[in-house]
Amino acid sequence: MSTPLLEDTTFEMSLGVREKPPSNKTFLISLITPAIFIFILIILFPIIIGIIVSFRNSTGVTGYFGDRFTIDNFYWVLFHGGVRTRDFWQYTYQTLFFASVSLIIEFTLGLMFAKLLNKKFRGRGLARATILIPWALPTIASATIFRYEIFAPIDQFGLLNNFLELLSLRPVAFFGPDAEVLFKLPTLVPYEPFITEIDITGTMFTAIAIDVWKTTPFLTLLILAVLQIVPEDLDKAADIAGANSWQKFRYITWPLIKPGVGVALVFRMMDALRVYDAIIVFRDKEVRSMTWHAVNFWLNAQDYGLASVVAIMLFLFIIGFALLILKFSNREKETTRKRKLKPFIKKKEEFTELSSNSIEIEYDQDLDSIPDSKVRLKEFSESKIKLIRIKLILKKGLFAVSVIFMCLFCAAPFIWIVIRSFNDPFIPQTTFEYRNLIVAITLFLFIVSLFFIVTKFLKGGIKKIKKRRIKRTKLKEKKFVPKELSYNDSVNKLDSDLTSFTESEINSEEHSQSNLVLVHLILRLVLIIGLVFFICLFGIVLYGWLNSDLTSVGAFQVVFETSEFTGVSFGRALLNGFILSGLTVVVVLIIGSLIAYALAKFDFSGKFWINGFIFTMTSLPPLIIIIPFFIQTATTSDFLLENRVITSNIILVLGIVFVGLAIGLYLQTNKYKKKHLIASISIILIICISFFIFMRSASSDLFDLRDNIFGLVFPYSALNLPLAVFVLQAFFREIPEDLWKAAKVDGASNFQIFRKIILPLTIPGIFTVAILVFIASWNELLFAQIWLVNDINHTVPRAILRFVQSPLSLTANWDTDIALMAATTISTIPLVILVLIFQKKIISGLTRGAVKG
Amino acid sequence: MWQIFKYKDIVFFGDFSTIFYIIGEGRKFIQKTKKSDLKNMKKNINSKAFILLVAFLFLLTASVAVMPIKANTKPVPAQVTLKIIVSDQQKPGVDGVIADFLNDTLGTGVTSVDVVASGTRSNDQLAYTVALMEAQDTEFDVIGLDTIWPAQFAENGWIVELTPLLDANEMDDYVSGMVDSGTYKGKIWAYPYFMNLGILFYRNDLITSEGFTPADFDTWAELNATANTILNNVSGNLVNTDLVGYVGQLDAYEGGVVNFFEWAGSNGVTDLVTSTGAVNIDTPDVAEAMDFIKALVPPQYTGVQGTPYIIPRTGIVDDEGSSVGRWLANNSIFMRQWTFAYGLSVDNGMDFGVAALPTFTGAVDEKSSAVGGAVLAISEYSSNKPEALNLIRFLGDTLAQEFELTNISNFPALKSVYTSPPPGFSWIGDWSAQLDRTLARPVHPKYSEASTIIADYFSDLLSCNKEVAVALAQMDTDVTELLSGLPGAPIPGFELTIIGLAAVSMIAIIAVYMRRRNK
Repeated sequence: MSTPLLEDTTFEMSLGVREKPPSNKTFLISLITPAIFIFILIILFPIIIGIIVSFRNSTGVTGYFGDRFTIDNFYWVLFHGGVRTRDFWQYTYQTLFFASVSLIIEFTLGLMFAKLLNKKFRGRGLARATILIPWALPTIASATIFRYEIFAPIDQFGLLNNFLELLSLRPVAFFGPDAEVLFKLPTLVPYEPFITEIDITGTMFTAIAIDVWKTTPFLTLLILAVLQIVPEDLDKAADIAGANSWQKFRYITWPLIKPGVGVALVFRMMDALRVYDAIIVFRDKEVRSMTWHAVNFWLNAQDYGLASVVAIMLFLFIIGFALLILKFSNREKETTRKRKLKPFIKKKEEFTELSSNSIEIEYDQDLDSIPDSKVRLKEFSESKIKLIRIKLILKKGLFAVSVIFMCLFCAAPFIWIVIRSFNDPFIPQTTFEYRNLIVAITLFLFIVSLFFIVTKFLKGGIKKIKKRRIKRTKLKEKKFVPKELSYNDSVNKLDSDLTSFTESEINSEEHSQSNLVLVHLILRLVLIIGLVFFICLFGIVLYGWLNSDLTSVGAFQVVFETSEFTGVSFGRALLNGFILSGLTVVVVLIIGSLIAYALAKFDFSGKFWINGFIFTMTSLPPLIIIIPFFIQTATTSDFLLENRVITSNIILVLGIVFVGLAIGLYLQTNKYKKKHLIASISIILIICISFFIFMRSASSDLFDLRDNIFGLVFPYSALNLPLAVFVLQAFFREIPEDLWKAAKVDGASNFQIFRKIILPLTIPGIFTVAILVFIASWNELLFAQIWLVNDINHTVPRAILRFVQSPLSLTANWDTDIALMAATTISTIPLVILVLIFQKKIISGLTRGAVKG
Repeated sequence: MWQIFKYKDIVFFGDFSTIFYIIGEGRKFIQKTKKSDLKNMKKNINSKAFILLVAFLFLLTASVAVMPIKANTKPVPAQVTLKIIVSDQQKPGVDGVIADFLNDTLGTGVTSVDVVASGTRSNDQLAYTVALMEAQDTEFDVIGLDTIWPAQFAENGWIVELTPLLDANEMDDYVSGMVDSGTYKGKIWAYPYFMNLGILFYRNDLITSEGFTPADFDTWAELNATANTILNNVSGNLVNTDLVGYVGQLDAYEGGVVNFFEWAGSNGVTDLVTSTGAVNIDTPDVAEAMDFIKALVPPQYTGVQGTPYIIPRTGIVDDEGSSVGRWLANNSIFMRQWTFAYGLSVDNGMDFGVAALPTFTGAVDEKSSAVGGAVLAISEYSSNKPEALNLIRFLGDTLAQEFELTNISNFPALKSVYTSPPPGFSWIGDWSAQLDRTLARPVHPKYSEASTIIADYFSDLLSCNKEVAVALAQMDTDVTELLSGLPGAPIPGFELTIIGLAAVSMIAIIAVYMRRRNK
């Protein structure tokens, strides 16, 4: 272990410190150990088992580890020209196609959305919260709803097809055998014909559409975070120079954000390659993915060896893709980045020079030839201002349209879901109900107009007008006192004034005499029309709602009363999900902050490997670890149950040790306040002893981690750790080292510094991580599906499955699609509210760092 | 020597003094390193840590003796608690008769029965049960299985063979399709529990208004003609323009495969895939049936429904949910569906009737109704096998079977319930004629995997993406290859070659990486 960064010897010398500082080694070890422990337990063991299994003839018959070493698994999956090999290569190319196309679309959309959200406009908070809606929906629910409600055939009451019919267009088969073959993709395969063609059908693009809708928000968030590192002055300089927005993006923004976007894309790509939930609803060979193939081998055939081979291949593809993206995005060090940026800064200077010169020339001619230069100057500036204003209005219009499109894209399916969940589930649907569509459209327009009216004209508008007035008057004073200034100075002044105009926004009052009166009149008219429109829409929605069966809350009742059918209510699932996600958040935060701090602030020899380890963990297909982990848990549970006595003894001893540590820490920090000390010790002791007694009692099944939400805390934590570490690391890196040193001089211990100085400073980051992890584990399905058997232990997505293609959904005498929508609404609304309340913190948390590291 | 811990039957012994010694060494080591110079620390750690590690391992292996002892300690309990895992659908039926079982003579010696549900969806149940079996879990005694799983579980040795435990004619009392589902390689592995049956639903009002009777669609050709007559609407009675002739489960999934088997079975081919792995898919009889069925679907989407095609084009992506949806919306004359739709149709106040699925020849002995449902098996890892057998026998007996019918509306697998139905359920007597026409799906451990292949080709065939002959030939080839197992790698030393290549590439990657790092 090399010397830590923070052991700054010169610093000590200057202070005349003779003694050596306390070693960081033990502290470092204590920071890293918990995370390493979890990695090894949850990730490394299963991976090793997976690799071993892929080289064994392991099937259901021979047992999980088989009885001999073999390479046949690889041969059968990769090279033997049979049905399995053909399927493998077809699914592989489909997965790659799916991942790359969805990644490109998501990236483009995400970049656009991020650029929009990066601008300051009123209601940005709401818009940001809106784009997070798709992310908060469980994938299986959204995929099912898209398949059975939105993209369904016309006589199955599909929304889009009925909408097309309404516009008297030809219905489209979005999936199934009738989906058109768009083109044939020639692919290279390592068996007989060597080049085969696979069909890319419309189904593939339907699946891509679902995936894009679901995951663009996440990418948007990450890109938004990256965009924060683009300094505003560079952009402004380019504005002055007259660079158009494409040039600005190409030469200023893109080079700066490239590395960060690369990391964001890697995160997204991993999920895209592991796609399972989004494609499984189609039952179509043309969209199956590698994960599907592995699940098929594993579940339907119990060919664990073959399944492991597929999982390992997927893993290799992910690593390859990640390296490719990272190479492309070229993660450089800070210095090289600055060096690369130099030409742009130079260019910026050139731009400024050039532009001011050109204006100067114009003025030179004008002012020399005409005596009444002041008047001409004024006229010139006004005409220019007019032009700029009209341009600005156009720009604003475009901007508003794009924001509306963005919100529509993200919110429309959700609004549809909400509307549909207010239908009466006990009346079978015989025709497509256009009323729903109309109500959905009106509701959306209503929300948009509400959004605009509230944000644009009412909320805080007065404040801004006042501000502008002050600005304008100042401007006026300056503009017409050019006497004391030299020619060049005045021109420069004018130039800067003009730029300040471009920044300012159009408003009334000030230029009533100019031609802009018309514009303001129009704006006012728009306001009035908007208000009338708004009131009408409100009336329509209210009327429609009250006079139709949309008032029915039967679906919600059904969701909560499924206990009659399944034994346990949906409320229990909400509670379970809350407990599980909450616990996961706590574990991830504790372990993640420790290791992130170590990685960000210390330099040690194993750092590269730990980073690599975390990276590997992110790219792991969860599938590969499920069965080994299941076996591991079963064995551990058996062991713990058998050795109940000794385990509880160990826990008691550990508890006593912790009490001792607590006492030590307490004495160290709080200077012998005996009352508190005794109180806290006694509380801890009581907790320990009661826990001990509880565990010794034979009836407790606390140790049985099978079919137990507590058993899922560890895999969830392990799967969510990488993102947490990446986000927190960036935060810790930002904390100035001076603080650390100052505290050190004051005699604070390492842990004290961490707890009392570092952690409070990273609260936004911790908050962000908490929300990210909470949503991720709230919506996790693959593990929950295999783990949680009893209804009483179900989490929310697991409970939602009751309404998707289950015997319950077939035999129920109510419409299960509507119940599914109601359940989705119920499970999503808490998250949406959470996101709505905390969106500022999430964004600020992410924009501080996130993928900068 | 002290007992340190016990795991299953193995007791680990160890000497605590060694552990204390190791701890002491560790402490000394830490103290020493603290005193040493920081700059030389790395060196010190490397050498010292190595020595210490070796010493630690040596001491550990030397002093901690692992002594497996066969456990005689666990006394055999006089009272047994059984644990049974079933699907959500099966759970209420088992729950309802547990009290009776404990009072029954079969339940002697059993204190209680825990019923655990393994999920609502077939895939979830399979995932969990497989994981449970793979972990050799001793927790469960009885496992509820879908009718298509027994072969897989039997082949993997996860369930107990029942043939020697049962009486010679015990299975004669049960529906033949259910017994066949639990029979693999001539041995019985699973006990019938309840049944799900593919049957034909028809709209009584539409049929009678055109003057037809159920005898008018005994064969597929007659059904086609009947539906066409109604859809042509010569009498002008028909108001519903969305009406279609026939819906089934035709999407590319297990439901589609069942429909495929039924159509093949109704043309006399009942051994498409045998338990020994013989495949008879590419035969003239199957091709004949498929040619006929294919002609019922429009070759491409036209936007208009109607004659001469009685199956709508969008019907080829129907599953259970969407087909019953069409039926309940009064948009279909005929429907092939599982029995669960009966109760729903009654609730919906429809005027309908049920019949056996048509055949191609009209002969009554053609097997045209596939069975689904549940069977019960005993876990290989159970420690209470005799009691478990008693439980599954009880669940297959009249009391439990009648409870299944009266309280859960599942169709019993016991024939005697159909001949002497419980009060209020006399209508079930109408079904007794169909019990001999039940068709078990192929019983083969690779069935689930083969089913995926069949589903894909069947979908291609129906949608006219592939010719019938081509699709059937490819289906036959692929399924045969899948079931017959695969040859080993062809090249001698193939394994070594691959491993060598992998090793070389690994070394190359590491070399490149190291070179870069040095740069």
